[in-house]
Amino acid sequence: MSVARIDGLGIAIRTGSGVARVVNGVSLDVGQAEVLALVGETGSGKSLTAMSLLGFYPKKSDVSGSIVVEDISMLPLRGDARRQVRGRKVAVILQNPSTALNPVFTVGTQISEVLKVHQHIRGKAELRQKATQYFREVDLPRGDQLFDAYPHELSGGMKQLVLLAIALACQPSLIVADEPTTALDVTTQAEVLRLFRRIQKERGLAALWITHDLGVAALIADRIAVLYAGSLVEQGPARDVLTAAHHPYTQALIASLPERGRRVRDLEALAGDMPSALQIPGGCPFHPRCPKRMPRCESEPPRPAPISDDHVAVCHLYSEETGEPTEGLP
Amino acid sequence: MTQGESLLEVTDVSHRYATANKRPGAGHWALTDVSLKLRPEETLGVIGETGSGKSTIGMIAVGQIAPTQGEVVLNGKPFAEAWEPGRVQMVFQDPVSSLDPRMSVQDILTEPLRAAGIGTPAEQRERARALIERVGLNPEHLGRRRAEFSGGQCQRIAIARAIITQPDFVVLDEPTSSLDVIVQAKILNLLQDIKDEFKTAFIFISHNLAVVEAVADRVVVLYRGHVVEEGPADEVFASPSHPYTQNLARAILGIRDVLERDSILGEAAAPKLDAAPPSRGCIYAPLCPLREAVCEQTAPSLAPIGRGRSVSCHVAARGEAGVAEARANGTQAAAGGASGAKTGASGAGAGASETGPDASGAGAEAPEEEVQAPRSGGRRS
Repeated sequence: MSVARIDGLGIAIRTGSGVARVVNGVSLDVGQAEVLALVGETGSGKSLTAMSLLGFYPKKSDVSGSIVVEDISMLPLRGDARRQVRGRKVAVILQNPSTALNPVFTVGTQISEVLKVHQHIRGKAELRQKATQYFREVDLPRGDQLFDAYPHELSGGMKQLVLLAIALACQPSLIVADEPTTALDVTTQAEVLRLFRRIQKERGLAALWITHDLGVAALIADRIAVLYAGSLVEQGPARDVLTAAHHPYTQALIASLPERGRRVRDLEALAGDMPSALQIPGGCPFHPRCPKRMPRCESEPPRPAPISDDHVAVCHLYSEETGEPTEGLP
Repeated sequence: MTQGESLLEVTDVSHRYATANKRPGAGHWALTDVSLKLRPEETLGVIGETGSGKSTIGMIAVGQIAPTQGEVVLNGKPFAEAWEPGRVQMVFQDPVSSLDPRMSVQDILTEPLRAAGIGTPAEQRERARALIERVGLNPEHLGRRRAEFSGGQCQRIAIARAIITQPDFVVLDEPTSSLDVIVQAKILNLLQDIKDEFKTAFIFISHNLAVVEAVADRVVVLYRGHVVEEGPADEVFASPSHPYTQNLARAILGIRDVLERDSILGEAAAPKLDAAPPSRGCIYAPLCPLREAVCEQTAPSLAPIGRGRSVSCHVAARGEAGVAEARANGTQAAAGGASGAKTGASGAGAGASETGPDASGAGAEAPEEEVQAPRSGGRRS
């Protein structure tokens, strides 16, 4: 049973210089109490895919496919569905905690707004008490005094925790997190991830966690989906994707990652650049950069190959029936 | 370049940023008694988190700011005397905003040559042409402006601009932090190629231990404006000595964490001081699992521990036996550590700023380096 399900999502933006196909047939589902990490580089379409769960689409775009959040269809989007889903079922934590909070209101005012709308709490004392309870849950020090603090009085890590508290106050079943720890110091990042994972497990929350950092995905994700140029290239349990990556792009991402004990010459950098969404290559979108490409990759779009239960690689190197390596390996 | 042991020698440098508080002695001390050396052909990694003073040390190294106290020696002479245009260059974190949007790449690349008075215009153009290919772009890119380039390409241009004068060294301040991993790997490899070919020395500033480990020959670890540890990169990364460096090393995420993440997630969170540092003793003492009585009284100084390494820690300086002993007494210290952090934090708003460079002017806004959580909530109560 999944909390959110995206099927064959396509987003094409009409621009002055043509149609930008930013998301091409992405299918995902986020199960109950599960963290799915959506991994990709700049321009891979990871944020657009995730934001579609809230019914946020770019202007002048054509959207196809289906998006269902707990039995509510978000596509085509109707006003009442949007109100039912945003905040109530899906809450968001964004990358930059400084711009996500309003600088002229205390954090207490900002969490109270959510408590009034979503939990129908009235009365100053009650709001303060409930807010403090959420601040404590996210381990914010001196949660009782925080209510009257302005955002500028808090560090980046604390602001991000306030946003997590506000997200939890919505009582959502799914949290969409868009690189929430990228702007934080490494030690703070580790703590926020640890805390989030604990709360997520305690509350049985589902989460779609967008990140470009495989290290973050390694620590927090149950499953990982890798996107390239708007297409899903690999998806599976975190352990399988990271320790036994099958798609050449996932392998390239891992090979380029600085890790303990790696010197610069150990880092392998894939040739070429991510294609523009205006000019996605035909066939497999990765073929111009792929070190293992075969003639059929240039013309035939690959289909998901079942590597194992729940682990798929979208690549001609593997049979779409059996997931076994195909003939024609170079 | 004059032959000397060090290209750059920074000795006992402290730097204070002026703040709204104009009282004598007030202000934010971004650096306190920092010393470091950059040797020819070396990559010196400078590691630190927000507020560690790592960018300040970078700006001092390029002469952008003169330190409040201490001595900076370039090629054996005082910095101000030895400095010439083009001898010391810099690459910034944001490759896009560090390039002038109205200038062509050609103008961007030749500008340092014009400033330094190197070559005729024709020679300058020829150098730009040769270098643009060296950093992986095409001569046809020379006529374009920055808007036509991706972040990675902009950083290549910024690197070309920095090395075109064949400087003694280049300061790289978080040069890959805003780039995707594959692009980052390319830029790091490009920097290594440049180093191999031109023998340029680098000061590589980053908060990312894994990136510094990939590129650095020697490292300096900064915590709140103090050097807490330094030494050969491989040694420091293989066995970090200072408790803060150990804490940083643990916080680095890697894909292999997926195999043991339950234990990693289960670890107690490292305490973090959301407040001004203590006014005396070791700045890391409130958080330190190895803390002893002496740490709260006397600030340690950087002491050699062999194999070219130094550490600023009373306990680690005694060697492994000393650390083991401190760990044995450690359960108690660790329990005290958490409450110590809280005590420190609640006292933050009040006079931590009375004494010299050791105290950061609590409550003051620092123009360049942001202090982690000057204070939180408590002020209004």
